[in-house]
Amino acid sequence: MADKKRALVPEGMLTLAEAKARVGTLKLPEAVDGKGGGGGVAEPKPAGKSSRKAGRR
Amino acid sequence: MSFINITRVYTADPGNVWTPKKTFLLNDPFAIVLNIQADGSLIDERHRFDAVFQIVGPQQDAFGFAWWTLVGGEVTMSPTRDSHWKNVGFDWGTNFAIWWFWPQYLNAIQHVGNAKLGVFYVQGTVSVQQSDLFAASDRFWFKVR
Repeated sequence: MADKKRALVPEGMLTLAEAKARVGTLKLPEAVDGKGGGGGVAEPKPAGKSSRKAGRR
Repeated sequence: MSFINITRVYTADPGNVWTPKKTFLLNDPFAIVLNIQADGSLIDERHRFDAVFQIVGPQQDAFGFAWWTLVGGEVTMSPTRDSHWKNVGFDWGTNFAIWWFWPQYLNAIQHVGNAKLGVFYVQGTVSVQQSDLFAASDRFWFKVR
């Protein structure tokens, strides 16, 4: 029954206990930081006109 | 009275940050967007703020499929993926958006177990430096499939 339930779990999903049991062989990539951006939102304009302008840092 | 509010939070394609997007593939570009309204006095007084963008794994049952990561070789529950953007100026007026983005959703959570597939949410906070002012967003749910 447990095996049947486990078969319904998507591949790659591990419970904490399963992960701990495999800790010696588990490898996870390093975290990737990402980047920030920002942009102003202008006051709403009449329909049909863009009301937004964006910029990136 | 000065104020700062996060009026909206959502996930988006970094190439189209003004439009919320609720479903992603693992390799899709991914951004967390905070829409912010700030009092003009914060610009006039040249204040700056710190922002935190969070991706949250809501399943935190230690016997289920909670998010986890490796810390010093140990498996550790890690239910949020936090990104900090510190010392941001009020450079975009009183009504603006800030976002944090990765080339792929996978890049954001590749070091987190159980975060590659499922229904998760994002949220964020902003805190004005040298001030009592802060704001916290609602949640925005999204799916990775």
